[in-house]
Parts: sequence; structure tokens; C-alpha cells
Amino acid sequence: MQKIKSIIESYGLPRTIITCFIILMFCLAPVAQINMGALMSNVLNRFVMNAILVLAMVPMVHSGCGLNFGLPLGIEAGLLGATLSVEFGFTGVTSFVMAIVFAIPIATVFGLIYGLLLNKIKGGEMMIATYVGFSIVSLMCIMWLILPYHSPNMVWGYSGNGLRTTITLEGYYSRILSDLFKIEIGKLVIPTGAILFFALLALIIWAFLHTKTGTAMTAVGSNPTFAKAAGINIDKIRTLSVVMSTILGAIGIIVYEQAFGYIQLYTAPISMAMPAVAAILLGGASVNKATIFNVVIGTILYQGIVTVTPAVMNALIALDISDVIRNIVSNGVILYALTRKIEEGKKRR
Amino acid sequence: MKKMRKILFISGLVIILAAICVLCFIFGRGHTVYLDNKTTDNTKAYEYIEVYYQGEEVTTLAKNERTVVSVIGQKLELDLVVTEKRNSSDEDVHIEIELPYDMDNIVVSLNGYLAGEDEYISEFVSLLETNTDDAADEEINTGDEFNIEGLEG
Amino acid sequence: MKKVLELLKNNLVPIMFIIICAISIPISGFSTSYILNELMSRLGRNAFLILSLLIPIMAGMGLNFGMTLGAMAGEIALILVYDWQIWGIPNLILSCIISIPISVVLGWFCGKMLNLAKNREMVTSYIISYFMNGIYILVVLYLMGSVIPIKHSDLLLARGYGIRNAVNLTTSRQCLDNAISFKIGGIKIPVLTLIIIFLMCLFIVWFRKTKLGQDMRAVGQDMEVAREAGIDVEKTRIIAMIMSTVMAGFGMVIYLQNLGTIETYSSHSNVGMFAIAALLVGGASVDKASIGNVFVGVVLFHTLFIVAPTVATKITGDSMIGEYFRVFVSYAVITIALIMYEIKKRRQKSDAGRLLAEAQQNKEENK
Repeated sequence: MQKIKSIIESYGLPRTIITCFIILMFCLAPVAQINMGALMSNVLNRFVMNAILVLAMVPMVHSGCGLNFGLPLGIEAGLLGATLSVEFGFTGVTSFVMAIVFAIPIATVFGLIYGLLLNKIKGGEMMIATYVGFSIVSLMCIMWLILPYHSPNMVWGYSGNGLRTTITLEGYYSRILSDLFKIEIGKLVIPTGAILFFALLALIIWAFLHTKTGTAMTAVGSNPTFAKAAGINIDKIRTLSVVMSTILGAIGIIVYEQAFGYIQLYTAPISMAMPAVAAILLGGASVNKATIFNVVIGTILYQGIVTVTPAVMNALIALDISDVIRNIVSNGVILYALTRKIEEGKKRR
Repeated sequence: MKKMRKILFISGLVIILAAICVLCFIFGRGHTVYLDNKTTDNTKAYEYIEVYYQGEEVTTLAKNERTVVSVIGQKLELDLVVTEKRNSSDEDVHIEIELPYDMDNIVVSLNGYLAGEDEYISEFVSLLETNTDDAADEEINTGDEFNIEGLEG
Repeated sequence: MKKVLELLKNNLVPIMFIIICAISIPISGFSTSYILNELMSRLGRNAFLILSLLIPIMAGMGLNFGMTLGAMAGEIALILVYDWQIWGIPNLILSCIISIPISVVLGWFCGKMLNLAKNREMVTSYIISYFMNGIYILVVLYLMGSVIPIKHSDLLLARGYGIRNAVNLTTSRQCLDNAISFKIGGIKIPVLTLIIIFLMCLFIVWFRKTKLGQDMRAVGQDMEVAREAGIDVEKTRIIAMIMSTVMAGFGMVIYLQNLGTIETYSSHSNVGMFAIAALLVGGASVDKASIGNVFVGVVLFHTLFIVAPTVATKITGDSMIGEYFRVFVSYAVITIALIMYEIKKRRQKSDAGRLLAEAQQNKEENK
């Protein structure tokens, strides 16, 4: 009994519950006559959509800035890049590349300002990050209406100004990565290109964290006093991590869009931070520690639960409660992490 | 001793609140009451019935007319001015009717009541209720994002 | 001169709002009596909700984003009472009473969680509000009508369970506002509502002076000192949360009777955000808020709310911009207030550090 308890303790209570739950659901799937291949492809597809957004959490957690509830900032930068790319009439692969090319400088500027702000408010990052995210989303809502976009594929047809809420990417970069080197086995579709793209970014981040600057970043996060004594410029490192997170958020949303096939503007980004935060926590990260492994596991678990559960539930008892489950799981996991870190702190004292 | 007092205080508070609840249930039960002046199998409609509820005139019911009042509580008190037949003189009547608790929409036959009929109360069955299918696929907004429509603040 | 600057600095947000309002009222072209009438209605609607935020601030727990829990309790109570067909004032009284046990349980849960997450109460209470929103949807959308009996089909979705998007409170709409009310120059004064709000203010003033109130302030000042003084810190904090949640439940009942419609799945979250924004606009900060802030906040914040869409339409020709603008303003105000609070906290900390260092230096020198 004691042993089980300690295993659960080290694996994390929510993670245990959710892993068990997913296994149960997968066992039930054949009973509900759901095609496993289709189900797995669904999970994989959602994995590649969200993995980079989850990866965007890592640098900021490492530098001790906490969970990046300000992810919408990066997302808005990505949306600006995407819409600019379409506006200038790029198509196909070029439009995807150009979207990223446009997004990165914007994200860098956003990230710099945001990083400077966060340096002034050390200790209160998470709450303020949340509201910075909300503010930027509502500000951009106004911007989408008044910025001088003209591409007929994006603006409202009848009034001729203001962008549409959803913009189709057909002919631009819809599924450009997901369909690259696609492998199909029966109903199981593996979006190899997108997985490779994520792997590449993950590798870059992993490699970065092992450079001198990267270890300095970890030091700043885990022991700021030591880092200061070692002569590390804490503020600079923190700003760098924020910029990295923001850029990853921008790239993340562009990859999300290519798999989804649409650009979603206006209020859509506001609800995107929570799932990403929940996913990385589910992967075993805490408020001040996160690895690439956490990202992968967390995204699979989180996307698994939000795809498999509704599918099985729907087939078994004709009840669509995906929204509610997503909501309770993601916020429950975040809540667990927030209340837990302090307990550890107490013990240490 | 102090703990005892606290327990007493809390249980007293709960009892008072429960009592207020019961009072609300009794005196707050609302009914939609339809007042009829209609000829039925047993009674004939009156020529005119002027209806006053809570000191205010509701309407004057001619033959075979219906009006509606909202009543909070279990007792319906009405002041009526009744003209039984054409050319007969007016008569002031004050009536009190006990309303059944578990009926939301009640039809009261005033002429039936005035004529001393036993079954002057019946339940009103709305034809509208079968129309709820109109809103079959109502989209549910679970409020994940700030929805602009709900911003009355 | 320095004093004036200090005053300006401490009241940056209200002053910004006064300026914005002063510019936008003439542009909107609304008559004074229209604006005043709207304001009066909004004051009655929102003041009680905002008052519920004061006690956790007093106890040093910051802005209680968990007040939405109380709002949910109020909504559930109203839905049930509507189904029981209790009308008018008894409807509101009964709703308040029914909301109490729900609020107490939710408030207790919130307090327990916040005790585990000291120094990050705000972000935690914020996540709790989201988490509970999930549970609330589960209850209202799936359990009501299937497990919890709901008699009246006009409340339910066509599929037979789950409450509709909007519930029209036809039987209790504005019954509190209209119970005692009169009009001065086209402005409706909801006397009874105002009396209740006034009583609530009195209660808060009185409560501050009680033993429990003093304890809460001590806990808010410094938890460790309070603990050494023999105050049960955890318990005091939980009580503060429960009180706030219960009050928010009552506030929600008042709020919804004025609106007359429950937006079943979104009323509560909006209410939380706007209450907090209004309080901050009134010049409150995360660690200090007074009753005066509540009323200044309601007036300034809601003046902007009334005029913003029209002003934006007049300037840009698009009414959506106004809608987005007022959302942006609410978020921006909260953001700025939080940032200023954190900066102040840091400055105080470094000041304290410097003083300590100086004191030590003096000691050395004296040796």
C-alpha cells in the first residue's frame, strides 16, 4: 500500500488518474465499435496541432517565469504573420514559410516588451501574464477590424473592411506539413512531416538548453541567488526566455493552422493558453521544472483524453460532454500544480 | 461553554432560515389565474363582471370573455361588480378563493363560483408548450471566451 | 507639489477614467438624464457584487476571482426557485437562502485551496473559478432535468435535460427594484435595492471592528505575526472566503433580478471580471480597498460602459469596435492595477532591505 502510494506520489496524482482513465477508454473503444486506427490518427493529428504550443511553455518555466499564461501574445504574433503572408499573396509552401518569417520579428518585439514587463514584476508573473494575454487578444480584436487588410479571401465580403472570424487556408498552406511524407495504414494516418517539424524544434530547444546560455537559464530558474552570484545577468536571461516562448507560440499557432486548415481570429486565442498549460503539467512538469519529455507525454495524454473520451462516451451513451471534460481536466490539473508547489516549499523549509 | 453557545447560535440561525424558507414556499407560490365568464354545461355566463384585484380594476368581462391575473400566495381575493342579466341592477361581491398549490396555471370560472358550482377550478393547459421543439438545436455557449452578447454588465 | 504628484500617481487609474469619460460623454450625445438613469440601474445591479470583494482584500488574499463561485451558487438557486414557481420578493429571499449552503461549500473549498497556495492566491482563485465553471456546466447542462428534477419544460433544452442558454425570470424581474421606487426627473430610484446595499456597507463597517474583522486585518498585514499572536490564520482565511462567496451569491440574485435574464452559461464569468475591473477603476488596489472605491468604481466604469459603443460607432462607424473596446478596457485596467501592485510590493521590499542594511551599517560604525 505504502509502495503504491509512493509510486503515485512520484508519478503525480492527476497523471495517474488520467493515464488509467485513458487506458480504460481505449479498452472500451472496441466495445463501442470505434475504429482504433481512426481514433489514433485523430489523437496524432491533434498532437501535432498542439505540441509546439506546449513546447512554448518550456523556456519560460526554465527561467523561473512560471507557466506562460501569456501564450496568446505569441499566438497573436503568429496570426499577424499568417494574415500578412496571405495578404501579400503568397501561396503554397511559400506562404507557410513567409508566415513564419513575418511572425518571428513581430513575436520578438512582443516578447521583448513582455519580457521587460515581467522583469519588473518578478513573483507575480502568472496572474499578470493571464491578463496581458486577455488584453492583447481584445486589443487585437479591434485591430483585426481596423487594420488595412484588402485580400478578398480574408475581409468580410459585404463591407470590404475588417477580417473574417475564420479564414480558410485552402490554396495557401492548409495541411502543408501534415500531408508531407504522410503514411497511411488502413485508417491510421501518420502526419510524418508535422511530427518531424516538431521534432526539429524540440531538438533545437533541447540543444539550446545544453548550451552555456541554456544552463544559465536553468540556473536562473532553479536558484536565482546562485545565478546572481555566478555573475549571470538574470534580467537578460529571463527576457531571452520570454522572447523564445513568444516565438515558439507564434510558430506553434501557424503549425496549428496548417493542420486545422483555417486561421481563427478575434476571441479564439483566448482559450488556447489553458490547454497548453494543462498539457505540460500533465506531462509531469511543475511550476518551475519542465523538459521536452514532459511536453511530448503531456500533449499525448491531454489530447488523448479530449479526443478519446468524447468519442467513446458518444458511442456508448450518446452524450457529448467533451467541452466539460476538457474544462475540468485542464483546470483541475493546473489547480493541482498551483497548490502543490507550495507544499514542497514548506517541506524544504 | 463557548462552543456550546456557538452551536446553539448556528442551529438557531439554520432554524430561522428554514422557517423563512417555509414561509416563502407558502406565501410566495405564484399562479397565473385565468378568470372566466363563460357559459358551461352547468352555468350561464353573466352579462357583465367588473373585476378588481388588489384595489385596481383589471377589466370588465362581457359574456364569454376571459382575463388573466398573476397571483402570489395561496389565496385569491377579488372584488367584483356583477350584472347578472341585462337591465338587472349591479351587485358588489367580495370573493376569496383558495388556490391549489401544485397547479401553475389555473382557470377560475367566476360565473360558476358565483352560482355556487362545486367545480369552478380547472387547470389551464397551454397549447404553446408543445412548440418547444422550435429551439431544437440551440447552440450552447459555455463561456470559454468573452462572449460579447452577455456584456450588459 | 510633491503631494499632488503623489496623489496623481496613486490614483492613476481613476484619473485616466475620468478623462476618458469626460471626453466620451459629449461625443456620445446621450442626455444627462439617460446616463444618470442607466447609472442608477447599474449601481443597484452591481454594487452588492463588488462589495463582496472587500473582505478577502482585507484578509490579504487579493482580488477574489473566486467570487464567480458565489455567482454560480446564486444562479443555481434562482433556476431552482424559478422551477418551484415561487414569485416576487419571496423568490429572491428563497433564492438567497438556497444559495447559502452552496456558497458555503464552494467558499470553503476555495479557502482550503488558497491556503495551500499562499502568495499566489489570485492566480489560484482564478483557476478555481474556471475549474468550478466546468463542474457548474456539468451540473446545469447534464444533471438538471435528468438527476435534479426540473418540472417546467420551458426551462429545459429540447432534448429533455440541461437548462437553456437563457432563462427569463419573468416572475421576479425587477421586483426588488420596483418594490419601493420613485422617479425624479426621469431617473428611477430603486429605493429598496439601495437600502440593502447601504445595510451591506454598514455591515462591512461594523464587521471591520469585530474581533474576527480585526483578526482578518492582522492576517492580511502579516500572516506570521498574526500566527504568533495566536490567530488561527488558516481558519480566518477560510472564513473570509466563505463570507465573500455567500455575499457574491446574494449579489448575483440582486444582479439577475435587475437584468431579468440568466445567461445560464456565461453570466457568472462576466460578472466576476466586471466587478473586479470596476473596483480597480474606483482606485482600489490588490491590498487596499474601501467602500468608497466601490461606488466611485461603479460610476466611472459603467459610465464608460454606457457610452463606449455609441462613441466608437460615431468615430469609426463600426459598433463592434465599441464592444471590443470596453472588453479591452476592463482587461487593461486589471492588468495595469496588477502591475502597479507588484511594482509597489517590490519597491517596498527593496526599501525594507535597504533600511535593514543601513541599520546594520550604523551598528558596525557604532562599534
